[in-house]
Amino acid sequence: MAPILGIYASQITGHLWAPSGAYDSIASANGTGSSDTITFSSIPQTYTHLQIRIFAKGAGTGNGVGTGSAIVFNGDTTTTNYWRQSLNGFGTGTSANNGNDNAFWDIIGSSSGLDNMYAVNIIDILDYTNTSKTKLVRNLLGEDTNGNGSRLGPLSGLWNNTSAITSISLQSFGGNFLTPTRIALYGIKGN
Amino acid sequence: MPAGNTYEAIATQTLGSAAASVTFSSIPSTYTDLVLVSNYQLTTGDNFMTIRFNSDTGSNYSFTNFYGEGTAPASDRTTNATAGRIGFYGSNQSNSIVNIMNYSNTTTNKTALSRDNTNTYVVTRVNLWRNTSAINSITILTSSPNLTAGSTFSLYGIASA
Repeated sequence: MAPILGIYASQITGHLWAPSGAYDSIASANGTGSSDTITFSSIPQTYTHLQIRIFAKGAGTGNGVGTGSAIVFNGDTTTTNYWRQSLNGFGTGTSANNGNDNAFWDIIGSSSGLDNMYAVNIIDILDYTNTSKTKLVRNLLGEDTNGNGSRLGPLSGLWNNTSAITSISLQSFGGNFLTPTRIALYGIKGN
Repeated sequence: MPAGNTYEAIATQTLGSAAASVTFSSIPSTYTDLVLVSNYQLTTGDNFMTIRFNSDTGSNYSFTNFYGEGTAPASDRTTNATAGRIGFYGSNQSNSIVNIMNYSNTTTNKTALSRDNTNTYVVTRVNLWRNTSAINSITILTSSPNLTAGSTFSLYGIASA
């Protein structure tokens, strides 16, 4: 069988292209300033992988660059069912850290000097319907604020559960999502 | 779920001869994100590649790099630059995949997240353009030397529901 470029590429980097018809928009949501959580429910089980593309900012003052935020799968809010490994570049140094938590993505809060600056995250969730595997997430995230702080790097997250993923909640730890926060869910087909 | 293509090729440019820049203009505003996929080489290795949006030459760009070159990771950043950064300093062949998020909104500054690599260097990078205009053109350029013939640049659009 000939390789499917987009799928192979997605497994390598997550951010390449897919052949026409293999990459679908499932749903998207916009921040309105009135909620700190966006949930995608009834996710179709007809794709092989999922990708979430995020452009986000929170209203919470004092929450600046690197405000980690949570992903909840299938309503499982027990953070000890998750594990996170982060690798961080700050523009002034590097670090790695981990935790028994689901802080799998970042927003930028509304601290002084961060007006109109949004964090971006591109999250891949591979083989999300498989009921024999625990679910592994990876994220490439980035925030630059012209000298008021930076965070950049890959993140790996585990949900220690073999259930197919049917819902995904994205919870801000930095206040309600501001307009025009945009979180979009895409499905990538196999063959 | 919308019908039709979600991930579309907008345009591709392949250099027939060495050139100092490549521009994508009249970018449609109908997508949610843009993805710029580049494979290129410089004729000599004495400059970085840069990126500009809407031909803005002001000091409105900043970027943070997180990279490995050799045996240790490092991270640095540049503020108030006159252009963003893609690729790497050197004459080796380079790949660059730049995700330009929510590019057509007119409320926020614009952020682009990329992964670039050569045989000796790998970097993740975030560029900030402090301008709330919708992005309608992208220029990739090097002041000197030139991009080699055969360098390829492809622009894709991703449309969300």
